[in-house]
Amino acid sequence: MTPEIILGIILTSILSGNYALIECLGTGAVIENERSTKRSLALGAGTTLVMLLATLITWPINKFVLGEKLEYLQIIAFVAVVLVISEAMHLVARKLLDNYCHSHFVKFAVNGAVLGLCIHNTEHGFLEAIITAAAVGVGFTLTMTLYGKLKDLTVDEDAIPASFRGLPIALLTAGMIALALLALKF
Amino acid sequence: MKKTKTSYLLRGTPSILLVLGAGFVMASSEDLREALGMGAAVLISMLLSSIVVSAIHKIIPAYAKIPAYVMIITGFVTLISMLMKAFFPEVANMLGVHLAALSVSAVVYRDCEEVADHSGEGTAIKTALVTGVFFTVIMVVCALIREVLGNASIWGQPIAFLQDYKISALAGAFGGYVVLAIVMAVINKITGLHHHLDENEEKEGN
Amino acid sequence: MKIRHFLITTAILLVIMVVFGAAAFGLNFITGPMIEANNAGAELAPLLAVMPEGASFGGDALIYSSADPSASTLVNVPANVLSVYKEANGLGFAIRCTAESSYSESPMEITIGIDAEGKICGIQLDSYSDSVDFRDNDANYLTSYIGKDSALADVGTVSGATYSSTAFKSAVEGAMGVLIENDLIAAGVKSDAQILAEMIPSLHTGLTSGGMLKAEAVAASGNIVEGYKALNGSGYAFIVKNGEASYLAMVNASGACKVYDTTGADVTEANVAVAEEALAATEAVDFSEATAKMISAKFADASEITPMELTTFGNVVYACSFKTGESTYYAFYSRPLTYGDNVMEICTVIDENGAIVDQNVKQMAFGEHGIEYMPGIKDLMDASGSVYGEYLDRFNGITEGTLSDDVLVSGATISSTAVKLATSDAFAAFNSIKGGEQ
Repeated sequence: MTPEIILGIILTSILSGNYALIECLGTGAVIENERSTKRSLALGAGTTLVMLLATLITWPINKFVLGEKLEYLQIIAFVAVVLVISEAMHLVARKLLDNYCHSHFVKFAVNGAVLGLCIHNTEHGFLEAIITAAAVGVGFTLTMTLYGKLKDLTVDEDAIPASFRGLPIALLTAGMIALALLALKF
Repeated sequence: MKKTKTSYLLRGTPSILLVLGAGFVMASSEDLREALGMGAAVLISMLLSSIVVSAIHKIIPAYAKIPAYVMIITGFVTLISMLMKAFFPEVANMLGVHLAALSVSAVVYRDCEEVADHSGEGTAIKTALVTGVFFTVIMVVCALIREVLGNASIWGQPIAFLQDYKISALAGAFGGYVVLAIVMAVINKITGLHHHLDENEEKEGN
Repeated sequence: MKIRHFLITTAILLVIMVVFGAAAFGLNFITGPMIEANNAGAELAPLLAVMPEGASFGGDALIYSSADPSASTLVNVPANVLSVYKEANGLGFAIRCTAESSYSESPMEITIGIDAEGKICGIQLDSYSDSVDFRDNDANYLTSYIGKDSALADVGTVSGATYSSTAFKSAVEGAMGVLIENDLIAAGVKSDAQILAEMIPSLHTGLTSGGMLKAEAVAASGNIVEGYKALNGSGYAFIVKNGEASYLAMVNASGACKVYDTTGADVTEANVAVAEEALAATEAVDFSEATAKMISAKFADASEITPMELTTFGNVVYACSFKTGESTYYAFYSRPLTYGDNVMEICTVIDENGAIVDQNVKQMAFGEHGIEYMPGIKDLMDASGSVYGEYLDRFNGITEGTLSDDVLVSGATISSTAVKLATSDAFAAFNSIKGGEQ
């Protein structure tokens, strides 16, 4: 594992392979985000921690418990792990997380990006999986924060055709960011 | 806040629901077969988990509801994905990880929590059907546009005269956003349901 | 209290997981074998497509896999062969392999079906990402392989996609070679003309580009069965029938002729008539003026320009000696093919000791727009746009022994490889002339 490969994983996860925008995993969590930058960052950090812990546990489970024979139990096992992890985090820092979330942290943290990451990571080596998890988490946090920030800036609702207000314009905005990120794909 | 049965049925204005499901709608609307496969998966998983949740919601303590419901949905998604891999391997292959991600989709979860949890099985089944069909239709429409214009094919069969006029960007991630946005705008125009995110709406990702 | 909630939640999750896990376990008895069959089916789909109907690849059809070569009894399998399957009913073999040319973005993937008699019964490209699709240039190219044995008689390459189609063809030859090598099918017999034509690139580099035969076909006449005329004036190659036997007659730019038989042996002396017939079909081109111009461009005081007969067969089309001051130099004017089959003009001046004194490329003739495709060469040009100062200086002082890949330019591989080839042809011509003098 050379520094180039590590850098490659990090850049890909954050930019051209961005989970929320390019891979369409956890997109909902990003485009509905209207939280302040501080809250977005805190929540993103929480999600990143869930991703890291989940990878730390699901990778060995997949390798040593499930293997090829019990592959069909992969989804259910992984979701259970993610649920327990986020419940545990909720237990430790309940007030803080729910406050940042405007809602129940578990609902937020158990999203497609986390599960998708765990499944993708089974194809990588352990070290690579951990680095990917951290990088995807950072990418997810940045995208979410950026998107929350962007929503602050688009204030002139009148400039948008009525039928495009709300979700359609939100999608188009996300699409533009996705397009910019795709340009970095080699 | 007490809601009536009718409001459960109509509660999901497309926009609000679609925010939650935008990820899998875009991911699985590149190809018509994929869209129908995902639509069926959404419909069935929603239906079955709603039924189970409305049957057992009384015995699950309030603090354990979220994880328990997600787990039930995951269970059904696991079974669906096994069946799909066996009977429609091509579609399962196209959907890939997104089929698994359906198990943590907020759309299905909301359906269980808000409808099945509070009302009887009858309403739960109706709502699940309405929402499932709605998503299927959206995905099929998007997929038609993206597959025909983006990939010059339909149902995997190439359309000869369009081969030189592919708008390949439509088939990619960017196309997902643009097409869904336009489809949503058209729906908004037709139904007159201009979207305003309800301040009180709970939001969560899928 | 909260910890109790957490534990109860976990317990509930466990219960749900066990319930669904059991259901999944049960369901797996039905879906498991189907999924396995599906996965196997997807792998076999391209194989069935290239084999006749009714073919089956069950059980131990896979007799070689590049994933684990040691488990196979097959030997000498090239690295680009991915897998070899033996059809269960003795209908033949299917081979999956890859091929790569310098225009491949990623290797092409090929599936070949070969019947029990060693003839190709089906062939398809499973993935192809070369810049030019040879199927566009020649829609029947793949079909031309059907029914052929390993000799691949009459299977050529596609013009406009020479590199890709050559890579494809040699991958097919390599794949069939595996079966022949392991005595699974009999080798196809090549016709004499085919064997002789395949010898041309190794005997006359002037008729090649990138190691492949690149020449204009000459109509057959008399005993001449096939003829090839170099695109750059460096000579001809003819396949000539003489009684029962066929010979390859090579002609260079000076009109020297050599005759080879199918074993590759030089039989010129015994076949004077063949050589004469070949020579009669050629037209001489005079390159003396072009050469003189290129010499005087660098050696203004060059005198006593004396032409010399070429005895080698290559890109050199004209050779002469000249004097400047006290020194005698030898100039070799060569015209290798470069990008897009354009001709490049090169004058290599070598001193008595065999070291290059001057290398002049008058014109990197890769077409009007070629330069845009070749940023590497563009960097080598000076302001005037036609002299390749630094690049050409690399050749100064080089001898045959020190000519190396250092003269290649990345980004202009084809052009600089052609310059290198022309330089080595010049050294060969120099050696043969010096050898003749001694």
